[in-house]
Amino acid sequence: MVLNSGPSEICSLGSLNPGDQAEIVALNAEHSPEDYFRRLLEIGFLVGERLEVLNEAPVSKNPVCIKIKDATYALRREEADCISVKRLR
Amino acid sequence: MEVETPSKKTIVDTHSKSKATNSGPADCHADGKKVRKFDPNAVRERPRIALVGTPNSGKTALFNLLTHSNQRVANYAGVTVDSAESDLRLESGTEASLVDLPGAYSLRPYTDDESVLADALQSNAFDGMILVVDSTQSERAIRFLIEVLDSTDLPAIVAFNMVDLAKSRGFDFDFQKLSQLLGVPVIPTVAVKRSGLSGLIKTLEETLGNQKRKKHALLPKADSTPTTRQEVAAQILSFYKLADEYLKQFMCKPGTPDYQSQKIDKYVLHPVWGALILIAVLGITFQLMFNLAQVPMDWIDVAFKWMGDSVNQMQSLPVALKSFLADGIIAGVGGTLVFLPQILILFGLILFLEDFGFMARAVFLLDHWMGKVGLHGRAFLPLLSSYACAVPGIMSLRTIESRRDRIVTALIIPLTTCSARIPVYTLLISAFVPNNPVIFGVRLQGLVMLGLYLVGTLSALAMGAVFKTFFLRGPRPPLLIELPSYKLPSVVSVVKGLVYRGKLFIRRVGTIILSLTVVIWVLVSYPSPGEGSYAAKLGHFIEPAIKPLGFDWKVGMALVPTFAAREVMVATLATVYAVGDDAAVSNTDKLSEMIQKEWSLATGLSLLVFFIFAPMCISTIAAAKRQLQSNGWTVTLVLYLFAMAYLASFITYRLAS
Repeated sequence: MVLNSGPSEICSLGSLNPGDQAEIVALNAEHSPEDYFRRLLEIGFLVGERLEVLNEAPVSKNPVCIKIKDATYALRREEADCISVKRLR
Repeated sequence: MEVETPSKKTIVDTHSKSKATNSGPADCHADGKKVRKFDPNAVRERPRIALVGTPNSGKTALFNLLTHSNQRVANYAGVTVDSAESDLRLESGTEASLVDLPGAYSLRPYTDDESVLADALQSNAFDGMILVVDSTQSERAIRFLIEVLDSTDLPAIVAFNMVDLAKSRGFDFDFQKLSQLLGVPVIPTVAVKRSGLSGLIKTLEETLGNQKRKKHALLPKADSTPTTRQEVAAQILSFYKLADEYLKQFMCKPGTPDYQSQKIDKYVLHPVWGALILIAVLGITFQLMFNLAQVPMDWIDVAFKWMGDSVNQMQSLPVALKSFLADGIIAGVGGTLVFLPQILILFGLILFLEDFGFMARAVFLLDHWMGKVGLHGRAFLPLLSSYACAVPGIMSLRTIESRRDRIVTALIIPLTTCSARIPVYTLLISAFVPNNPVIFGVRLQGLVMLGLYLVGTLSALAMGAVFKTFFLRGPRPPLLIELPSYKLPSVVSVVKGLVYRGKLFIRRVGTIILSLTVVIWVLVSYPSPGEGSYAAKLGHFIEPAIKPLGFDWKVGMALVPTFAAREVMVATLATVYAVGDDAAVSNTDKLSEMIQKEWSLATGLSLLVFFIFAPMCISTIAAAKRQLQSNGWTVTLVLYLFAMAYLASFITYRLAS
């Protein structure tokens, strides 16, 4: 459990909301399929990289749109949880 | 990684199989005369060049311009699922050939269409390659370039594509520097505006003459192929580190993010506005299909009526020949061709949305709901292209990762409302549904049409849930899809797409529909026209089976040939009623009046419902058999759809009468 404690808390990528900006601090591969995890790396989800959550799907609030390295991707919250981030704003 | 080998095999198999079973090289998308399916094992008489790049970077647009071809281009990842090959004339007059490969994010394939690229590059089938880069995403693209350049010693040049977009967002590049860093020529291009092409061809020819490059010139070769997650991650990281270093040296000025697309997304993906926009667009399209299309439909109708009348007035012709021409060919072909305007209106919308960049967003919006029925959001794309025709829809199943999901999607694709249903729906709606205004100028006929599309779609999803829950249970593969920048659709591209669709429809009318019409005319006219004909005997024979659905022998007669191609229903009815009665029925309004008189409302509705579900298309079943690679599933497909059609028609008839 991570307590909400100020703007620079560490949380999972899937828990961010539209408008949030964050920096990737760790990747936890254990629970995600190997090729999915590899693909995340290949499109630029690397430690130190900055990203922004742009939108979430209506009603279900899932998947979310994430902007990283000049491109935007749709990911499901529960699957994006393998990425730990530090919220910047 | 060991799992990959068999799946690669199947891909190669499907390729060669579909090649063998298809009648010719002119496949669904190959409209140009010289475009053929790429075969890595074919003997090479001329240099062969590969187009390689990340998805949606404009490879197919370049291919079309360089080879004067007409392959489908759209604004989302994974449009190209089949590699096309075509001739290319170099500056000196030397003939070469160019292959348009599906895009990939890396050489470690994630989906079947990506493994086409990885396999092709290892196959020794090429003499050179053009690496296509989306300039607005140069960092990711450079990482991919490093991976590709280090994996092969093929001569290569880089087409730095869409530089106009990058410039407009403030990016500034030093191409000479990049060329130095990568060790290959770099040419800025704008494929959609034909800019930079002559330079590209010139450089390509110079480069082909050069010696082969060295493998692993950019990054030292790893001691062993990375296998563990850590090793793979380290390798990807090293690609990115180098890409980052290059970027610092060749990108003089970074651009601003794509704020425009973000702004559009604020509305399109908005919970309230987005839904309203979507409903409005669909509503307008279906209204146009009935109201705007009426005028050109009347023209076509008048033209064919005139032709029929002229034939009937020719005194010199024998009566049988007159009947053959007027009641058989003209009534049948004209009766089907008249629906061309409606088909073009629906395709206009689909092409616009594809080029605009909406399709990937639709996947994003629908993923959760598709998940409710156990399907992946990505399954939406094959489903959507099936609204045009189920055959390309089934072919694009290759972009779906899991075989289980491919089977489920193939099973439900025939339920989506393909354009061959439009003629039948229109005829029956105009016969049995009054075109009363309902609200705000929206009329009832357009609403009923929209309703038929909805019923088809919802039953496809419901059946998906049934198959997924009871027969093909399994985990849902993760979602990872790129949302491309919005682009204003080019008029040329949309018009080209429409012309292609129109040609396809006309070709179908001129071949399958025409020949079936001739057969039907013979069956209806001999040994004696009407009640005494072979067709009537056949109709009477199957009547007991279809009586519970409210169909008499005349409907039965028209139904039999529809199992080859469903839109032939209209042509058959036109012929049946034209031969049966003395008046020519080449006029569509007249045909709909005729069936309105002859059938009860219950029969009309029952037939409408039958057409929602019945598996009436030989080509679809053949394509599904290739994709499913299983006789059991193919038989399941046909039987369950037929059972559904029968049951639903039966219930409709009971309720309505």
